[in-house]
Amino acid sequence: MRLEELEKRIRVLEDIEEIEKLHRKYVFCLSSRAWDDLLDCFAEDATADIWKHGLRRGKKEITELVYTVFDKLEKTPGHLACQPIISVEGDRASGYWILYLFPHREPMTWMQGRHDCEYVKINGEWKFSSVKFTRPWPELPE
Amino acid sequence: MTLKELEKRVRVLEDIEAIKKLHREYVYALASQQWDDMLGCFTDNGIADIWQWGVRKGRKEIEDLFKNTFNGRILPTHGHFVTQPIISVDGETAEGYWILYLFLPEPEARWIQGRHDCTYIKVDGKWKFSYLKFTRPWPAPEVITKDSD
Repeated sequence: MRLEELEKRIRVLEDIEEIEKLHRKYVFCLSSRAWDDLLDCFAEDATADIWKHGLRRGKKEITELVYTVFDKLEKTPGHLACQPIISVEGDRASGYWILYLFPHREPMTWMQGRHDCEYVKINGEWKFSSVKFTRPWPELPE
Repeated sequence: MTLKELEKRVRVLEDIEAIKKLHREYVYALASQQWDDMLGCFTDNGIADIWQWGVRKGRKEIEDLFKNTFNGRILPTHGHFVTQPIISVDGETAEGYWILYLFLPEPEARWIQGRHDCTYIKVDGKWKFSYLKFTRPWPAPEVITKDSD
């Protein structure tokens, strides 16, 4: 075992930690309507494919999505992302998470969805290169 | 600190990561009713002790539990997730516990909090369950209820 090899293994562990942080911050932003910080999680040429809202390419289209869809919600639901499975390959990574939504309504209800993502490291910082949100997950039989 | 000692510490962190992955993959498979993928998370002589269903030893008995008891009872409309892992690694074996949330659908949506208690073993470089116990509800009602005395 050489020092360089060990450093590489530690780097992967650090990268997983950083990617999980990025993703969790994104979900904190979703819940708190912190749109500028949320947009900052994306790379310039990233894509976002959120539920029924269609594929958006690049920061401009994603910004439009945020302000015409997310920001229009009367009440933003509770969000919880968990169960990350992250695989790192150099400066790129992929991962998936469970995302729970808890709408503010009575009686209590919940929705289970899933994030499938790609991440890219730009100037030492991890960003989303793509986010796909599917709900419900698993898909229900017809 | 020698390089060898440092490598050992890095290995423990990698093992914790790999065990978390295994456990989470198991719950993804549970939520999507992928019985064979769930089965693949166990060693050949692994033990599953799930709620009221009793202890099942070995792959054949666990397969029977998944395909004949879970099948039709665990549905795509149910939500499952695990969180709060506490993992302790000791060489090629490890133990851990997690909170498992189960969500049941409308019209009377509700949640149940349970717990996984597990032992893991590394077989040919891959972590597997050697033992998995699921308890629900956790904690037990008598524990969470304040004594009236």
